[in-house]
Amino acid sequence: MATVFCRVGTFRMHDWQQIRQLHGAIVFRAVFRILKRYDQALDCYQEVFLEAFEQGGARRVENWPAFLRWLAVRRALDRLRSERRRTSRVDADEDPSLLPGSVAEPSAEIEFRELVEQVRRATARLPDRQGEAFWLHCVEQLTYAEVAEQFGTDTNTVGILVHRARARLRKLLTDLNPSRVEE
Amino acid sequence: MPELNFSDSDGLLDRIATALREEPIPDFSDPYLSLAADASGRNADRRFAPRPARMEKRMSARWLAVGAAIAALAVVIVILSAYGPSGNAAVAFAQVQQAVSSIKSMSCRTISTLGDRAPTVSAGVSVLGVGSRNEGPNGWVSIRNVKAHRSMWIDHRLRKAGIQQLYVEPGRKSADAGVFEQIRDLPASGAKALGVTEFEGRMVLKFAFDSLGRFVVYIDPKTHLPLRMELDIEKGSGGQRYREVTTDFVFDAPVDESLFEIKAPPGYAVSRCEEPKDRKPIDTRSWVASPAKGLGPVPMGVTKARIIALLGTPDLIEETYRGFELFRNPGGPALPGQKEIVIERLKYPSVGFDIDVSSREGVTGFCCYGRLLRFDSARDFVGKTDRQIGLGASMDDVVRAYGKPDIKTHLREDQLHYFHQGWSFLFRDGKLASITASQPRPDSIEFKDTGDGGWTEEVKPKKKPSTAGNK
Repeated sequence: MATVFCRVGTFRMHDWQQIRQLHGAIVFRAVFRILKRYDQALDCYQEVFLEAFEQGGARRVENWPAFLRWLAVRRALDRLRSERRRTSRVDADEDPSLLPGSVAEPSAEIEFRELVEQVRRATARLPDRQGEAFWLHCVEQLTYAEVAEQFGTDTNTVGILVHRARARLRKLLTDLNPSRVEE
Repeated sequence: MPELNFSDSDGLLDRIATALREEPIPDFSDPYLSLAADASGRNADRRFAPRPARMEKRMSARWLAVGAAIAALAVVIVILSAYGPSGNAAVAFAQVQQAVSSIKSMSCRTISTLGDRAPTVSAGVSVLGVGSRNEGPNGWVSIRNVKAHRSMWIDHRLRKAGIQQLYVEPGRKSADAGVFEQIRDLPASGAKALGVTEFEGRMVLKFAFDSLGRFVVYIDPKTHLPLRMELDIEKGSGGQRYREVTTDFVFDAPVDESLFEIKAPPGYAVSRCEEPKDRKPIDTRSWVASPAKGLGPVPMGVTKARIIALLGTPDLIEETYRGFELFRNPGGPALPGQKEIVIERLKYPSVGFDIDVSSREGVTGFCCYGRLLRFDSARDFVGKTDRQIGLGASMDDVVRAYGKPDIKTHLREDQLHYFHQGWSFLFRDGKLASITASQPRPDSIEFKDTGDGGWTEEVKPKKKPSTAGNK
């Protein structure tokens, strides 16, 4: 890994400019995938590197992409969880022309994109570790070993977390099955 | 697009995970790296300028609490009209007005709950024509002094205080004015009688009223004064449910007026937001606001020094963002070429606007507002946008001028967002209460309403060239 560090007492110094150059895009992509808002992603991006700076001084980081992805997913999911709980409130006399218009897309495409959005939000509602494990492994494609290293646990535990997260999300998909509603 | 096979939910979940991973991501340029590489000049790409980290805004429970007191006493006026001893609304109304108007001072205790957070307790006292004071949790105090035309907040935990000038106009609404001053301005309609109920061992009158939220008030039938008030706001600060119970009313007890003194404790860091006495008057009547051109005589992109040269000293300058220095050698000097980004808000509430300015890019945006949003802590901005929209306009007026918005949101207020044009319009009570301008977002970004008050941003898919007719 092209990271230069030296030990100063118990504090490790890293070449942060190089780290950001090499891995900044990974972090931004990871947070944007979850938050889907440029301004929030940018704020979260800064928070991730600040946390990395604070943590990186006290630990040896062997795998920067995995470490930063983990911080990014954790931070972004935290943000999504604490996002304002907004309830949909459509006034009876609301002008439908003010609502975003829908492009003429095939209905399967629209439905699939809605499911993607539902899963994104549902991940933030999972227990913290389950949501992080699912997203890191299934979306960010970190291996069980890489996730385990960041969590400070073993691959079996990560496997269980991912399994449970998937079980909950599969249940969500089942509940969203339109055929089930029509039955 | 293959059909959605819900019977294979595992496979469907994998497809969804792949879609999440492969969704297009907007272009991104690390602002700090750009700054480090461009130590002598500005980054020409202003589209993705760093936005300040959002500073947490303290929930204005005090505003809500006092608003609750105001509206609840209005409830007294309205609803007791149906419960006067003679059943005559006018007579009952007069009795209530007389009872409330005769009060010289009032104190009470409020328990507030926001969302799932732990309840907080605050105590308040107000004296007619003098002011009010509320003390909340964590060493927070807010004071309003009518005579001094000032309000002050104190944070004892952080040893900080802020003093705000008030622009009190007779007959105009005040954010947290004493209930006495406001009672005559409140509308006397819409209250619902909920009958008689037992409260603390006696029979009281119970009413419901909608103002800010849903009020339920318990009235002493003998004194016509409140014994208990309950407030329920479905979407309060941050969109979370806000509930409040006010009890322990004490009327006309002696009050030490030094409680309302606008004086920060010694040694506290004090910020002051006041109209400079030596500043030339600013007249915004002829000003035009535009995300492309700026605000009145202040173009986009000019420096803070230029703003001050054009307008004079602001009422207050707040630093809203400062870029942290990750490359700093801990304990050592800054590295060569290393600079900070600072974003400041130049506040001119005395004339109804704030301007955001970046140390790198100059003016990046502004917000125009007035009393509808800020009550008596601001005067109205009286200029207009480039399409003749001013404060007080209706939502229809804005849509006629700017077309269909990219996104419409509704929390406590309605907002229309025109991201591609650089506008956001916030409405209160159906009238335009603030106008915000910022850098327009690129056309390549598509905004999608999530249906729950939020939105997502996606890069628009590129259209494949048509092959129709090619054989």
